[in-house]
Amino acid sequence: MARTDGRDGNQLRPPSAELGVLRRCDGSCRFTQGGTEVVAGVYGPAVPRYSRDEDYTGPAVEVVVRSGTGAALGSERLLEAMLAGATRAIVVRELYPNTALSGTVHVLHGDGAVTAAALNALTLALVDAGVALRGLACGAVVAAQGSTLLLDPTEAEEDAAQGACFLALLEGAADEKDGAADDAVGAGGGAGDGAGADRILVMDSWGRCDKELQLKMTRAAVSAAKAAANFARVVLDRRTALQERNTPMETG
Amino acid sequence: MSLRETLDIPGVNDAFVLSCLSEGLRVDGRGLLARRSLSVKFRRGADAAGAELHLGDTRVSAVVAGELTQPFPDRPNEGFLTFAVEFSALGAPGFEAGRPPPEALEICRYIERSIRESNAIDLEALAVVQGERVWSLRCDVVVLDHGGNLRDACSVAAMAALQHYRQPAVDVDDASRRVTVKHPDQEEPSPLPLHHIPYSVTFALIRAEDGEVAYVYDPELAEEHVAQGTLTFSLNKHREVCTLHFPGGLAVTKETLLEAADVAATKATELHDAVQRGLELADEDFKARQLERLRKSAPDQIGAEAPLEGLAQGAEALSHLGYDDLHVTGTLRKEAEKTPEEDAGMAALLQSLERAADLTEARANAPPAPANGSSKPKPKPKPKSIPEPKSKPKPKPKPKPKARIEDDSEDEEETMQLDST
Repeated sequence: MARTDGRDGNQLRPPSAELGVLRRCDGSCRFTQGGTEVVAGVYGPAVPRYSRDEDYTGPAVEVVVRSGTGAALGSERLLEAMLAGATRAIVVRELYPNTALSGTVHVLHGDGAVTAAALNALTLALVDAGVALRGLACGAVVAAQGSTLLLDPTEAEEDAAQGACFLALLEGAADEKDGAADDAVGAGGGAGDGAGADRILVMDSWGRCDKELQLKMTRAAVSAAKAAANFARVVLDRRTALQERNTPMETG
Repeated sequence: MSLRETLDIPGVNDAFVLSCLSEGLRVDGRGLLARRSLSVKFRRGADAAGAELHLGDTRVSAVVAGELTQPFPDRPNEGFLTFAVEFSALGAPGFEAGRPPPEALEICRYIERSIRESNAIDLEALAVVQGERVWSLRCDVVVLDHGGNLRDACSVAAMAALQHYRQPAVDVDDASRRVTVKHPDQEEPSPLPLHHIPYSVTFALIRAEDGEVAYVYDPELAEEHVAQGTLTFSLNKHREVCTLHFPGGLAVTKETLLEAADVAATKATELHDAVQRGLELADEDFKARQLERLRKSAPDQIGAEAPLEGLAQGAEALSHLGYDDLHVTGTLRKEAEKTPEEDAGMAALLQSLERAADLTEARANAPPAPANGSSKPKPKPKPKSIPEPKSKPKPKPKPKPKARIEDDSEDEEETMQLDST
């Protein structure tokens, strides 16, 4: 076996997501991938607490990331900024002027690919909250060790890697020529997959990699992010089916 | 979509709560002294342990972590045990991330009194090298969802996490006085030395219209709002009262207080038994997983360190099994729109998944195939109305593994098909 847990280099750990796990939050999601477990909750759209946050063009988005113990470390600021940026890009801003949207992500247990889990959980929590979205922001992490790529690395693999890349796609957005395209970073339709303009929304990479390896890492991350997006779609389809079964539509 | 106010309007249910109580019922139909359903999920790592507690709608997570530090000079034999309680911004719309509100500080102080100041844990047993190195335990409690009775939830979660925590074994070199902490896989860690185990029982005191004061156990949010005071006991299973927390708001008679203490003793014993069962199961589960992990990895590997040497060769045996085989990536549709081809495709996918499972077993027993690098990740199948049959069952032996990632000549990785040979 190539990796400690017996996975192939291009295999993701099986993810699992549970929506609506918290009662007080408007939307919440518990996302697990291997040993990484993350709980995300969303409040909003709500009246902003401070009038300086009122913005007539759209919601004021704030995301807070905490470790499982509630302690805040400096490294979480970057993740908070990325998640807030991704949220601003996917929420249909025009529908929520002068409101505040606040998301909180608790990393209950981190075992690699925490940024991806946080983003996936936050996206699903936004859907659970009923916020109108242009598409789903789903991401994945790829680590490079030597010239081998490891998708969805564990914490040990991330620590040993010489470089890693986190990439999030805006999945499922129709071909729109509006603000969403401006918010997206990177090549539009760079995956070259044809139907559906899956665009790169967030990308963060670190480490020492030459150009070829960086390109390969990006491509691998795009495929992995698509798998994550597939998973999100599966989760939402199942939830919709469950809701339709539980609340039969009234006819007439 | 309606706008949510940042402030809840909890007073709406007050009259309803009072009328239920006058009939001896709670809002959710339980008895006055009945508790909501309790479940605890445990987690343990190399240097920390956690317990996630669900009490009705309240969700609280407690994590205990230990590290070696220097003791106070006037107490060279004592370790440290500190608590911190935070109300996460998830817990309620009014909670802000940042400084804990007064309620959180009150709960933290209560937990310190009931656990640390009642000598539940022998702090002297946390000493490693007298005057130089002691264990400092830190217990962080986070309220993820505020459904009422946070005091009980936080303190029971903290106590459960402390019982699940295992202190790593240490090696003290007598000559150099250097302390090495052993990983749990090297030497079995030991549970914390507990003198007794206090559990917290909270009553809400509600004055009915006729002036009678009723005490209800495990109040939920609506009841907390209508209550004029709360009364909390912390007892162990020997019916010893470790802490009494009665912050006022309502005057009660001596008889009521003693009655409530009696009830609390029974409830604390029930809590003890429930948490104990959970702890035993969690311990067995953790040990089983540890054995499984140790059995799989080589004897010289410690913990979850990855064997880096093998990675460069890539995965030869399973390289042709990509996402589609081991993960569901097909497009899901509603039942009505399913075409026969899609049904066949789904059946084929399931079949190939089964074959993949068989193959994984076979490969685990068979000797490894020649190293040939790992293949590129499989792209998601194109979302056409009739998906291409990407994962057909293979009647022949598996096709050869794909080119390595390092190989630049094959540039069309995106279009590689599973059934090409």
